[in-house]
Amino acid sequence: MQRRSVLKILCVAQFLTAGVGRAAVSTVEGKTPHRPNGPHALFTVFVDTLIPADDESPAASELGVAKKMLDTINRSASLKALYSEGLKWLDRTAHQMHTKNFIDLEEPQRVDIISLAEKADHASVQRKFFREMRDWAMELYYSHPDTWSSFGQLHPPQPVGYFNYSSAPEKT
Amino acid sequence: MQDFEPEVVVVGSGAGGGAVAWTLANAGVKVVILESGPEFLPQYDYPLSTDDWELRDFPDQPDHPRYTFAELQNLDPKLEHLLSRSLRHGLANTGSKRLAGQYMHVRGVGGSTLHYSGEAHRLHPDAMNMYSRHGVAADWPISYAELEPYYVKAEKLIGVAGPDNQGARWRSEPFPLPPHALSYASRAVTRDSTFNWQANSLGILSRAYRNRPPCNYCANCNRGCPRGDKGSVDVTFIRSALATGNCRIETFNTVTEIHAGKNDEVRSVTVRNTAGLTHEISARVFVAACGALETPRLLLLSSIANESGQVGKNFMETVLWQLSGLHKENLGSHRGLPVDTVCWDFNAPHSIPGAPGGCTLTVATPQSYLVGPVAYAHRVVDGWGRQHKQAMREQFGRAITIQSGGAFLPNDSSYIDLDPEEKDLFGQPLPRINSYVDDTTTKRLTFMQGLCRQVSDEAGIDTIVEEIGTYDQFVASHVFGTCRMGDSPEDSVVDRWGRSHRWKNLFIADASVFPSSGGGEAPSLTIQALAIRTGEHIRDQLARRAI
Repeated sequence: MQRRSVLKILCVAQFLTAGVGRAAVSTVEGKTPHRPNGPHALFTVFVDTLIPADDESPAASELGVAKKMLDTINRSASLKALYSEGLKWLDRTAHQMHTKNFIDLEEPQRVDIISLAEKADHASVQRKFFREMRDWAMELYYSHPDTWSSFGQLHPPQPVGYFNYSSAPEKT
Repeated sequence: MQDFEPEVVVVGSGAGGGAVAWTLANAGVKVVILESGPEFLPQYDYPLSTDDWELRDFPDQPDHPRYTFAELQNLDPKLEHLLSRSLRHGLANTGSKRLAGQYMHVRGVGGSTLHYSGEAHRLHPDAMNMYSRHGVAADWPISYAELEPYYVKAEKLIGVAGPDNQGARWRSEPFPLPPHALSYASRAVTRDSTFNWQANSLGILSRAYRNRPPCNYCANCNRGCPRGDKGSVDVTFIRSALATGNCRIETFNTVTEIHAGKNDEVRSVTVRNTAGLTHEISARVFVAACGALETPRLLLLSSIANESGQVGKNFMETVLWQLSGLHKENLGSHRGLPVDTVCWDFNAPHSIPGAPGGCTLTVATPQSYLVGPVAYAHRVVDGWGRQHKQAMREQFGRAITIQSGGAFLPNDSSYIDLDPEEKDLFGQPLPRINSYVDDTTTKRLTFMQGLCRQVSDEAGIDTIVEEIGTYDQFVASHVFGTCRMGDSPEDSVVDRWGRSHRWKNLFIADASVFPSSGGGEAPSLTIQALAIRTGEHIRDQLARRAI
């Protein structure tokens, strides 16, 4: 996958690059979550907490986001190290706060823990893990066509383009 | 090339090289274009029909550095207001020095027009007299009136669409095509503006023209146009030049040296290809059209045409401020053209108090790449989880980008030289960018920032998500001036025809000849007009056996 160097007239790279460029739990509120198995279950739960299912769109794992990320992580020593440290931090924090594994927590508890990573010091491993994985997961998720119906008139730019560009967008 | 003896060698196939080759080939002159990059195949290389379209940028991805930077200036704490920042990411540059960003230049058949937004601007006539009117930069040795017929020729070949009223940019003929309708988003943004807006003049077809289809408004010109409605040089000048049978183009062929001959004439050029083969090509005329970094580099590497000492000097770069925010309504702003609307109110060189050189204002949302949900998730909508998903749905289509581009004046600290250490794939020194943003430029940027904020306020943009400028980071798509055109051999590199003052058969046809940058106009049309004029001069000189 290519890393984008977006915005051709003016590009401040930190703002505009579309993420790290490398790649379940179905948790619609009120429904019983599906608990994934296997060695990467914790990561899948983490990614699905970042991008859960709701009434209009699927969870990240339903679109294979975590799997694609793992495929790339397994090919990169530096990503693997970040992944490993990040997951360790999640479980360690889950135990400190709730004496449970991260994967066994309810969604609000998982959200609280990820929020800690989000707000941690810039140089911390949990912050770096959160930022990288958040941006990467969003990139893979929103580049999947199954997420586009909630944005109304959205499709690949070609071959049809937007001949209606001078009219108000249709209501979704 | 054994069966093709070129009379003219053109180095580079961008806006200038393509236009000069087209002019000569049309006149029956045998031309070979030497291009260091590839030929892109639009339907294959610009895959805008695939699901992952938003993860792809224009496919020119250098695998080796093409330029370096000298150390850039310290940032002034008094100019904190000019720091680039975003709601989601904070400051772009948290250091104390200006960042070395990017020179956005495409190597390949068509050059940087392959990823440009299609803006086809004429220069403001007063911007060609910056020294005599304002005591800065240098005057052009030719007038707007002398250049005007060549603008017409370029516009006709490209199929430029624009509105008749062009103010100071008087026209001898109407645009070949009617202007594009403004997008719904641009109309909403400019409706209550105190400024005067009009459809941008664009080298993008508003109707079918010369076997090219009209635009379908997919908003992604900057990723490459797979349809051919955007008038990039590959589908206009070069396609027409090749059709004459008088033009050949050799890709992946890099000119590494120009060789002097007898009687102040260039004898040949050395060409190296990616297979490691080296050969020499002789011709009657040589045209360098590699852009304002590579052309001076080639001359410096060849120790030629620098009798004035001005090769590489007078470097001018992009000056830009860009504000992106959220409109109160869903405007479907991911549709349309990259930069469909322009305001020329502040473009004349006297428009900005205390900072000679004007600026443009545009609505440039697709050009800022805010055209898909991935960009929104990265740059517009912060957070994650359920609230993030809901916010994505609410905010998609509301992003608006207001942009201002302005003049850059030459200064002694901005120039191109050869890097003493870093080399290219052939072991030759890379061009090194020495860049300095002076007080006049920061005044102009401050003014441009104010304009963007005023437009934003008047448009009902309620949340600013990014403000990005070129003060704290070098980012340039347009560079100029490094082989200045002028009447005096003492302080310029080429004459009014683009010919070296000394070397009778050596010409330059790119933005390096610009004596001044203009006030934010996109330069490609002016490069092309100048190149056609240079081409006609070469044609006449060849016909008279004067070369």
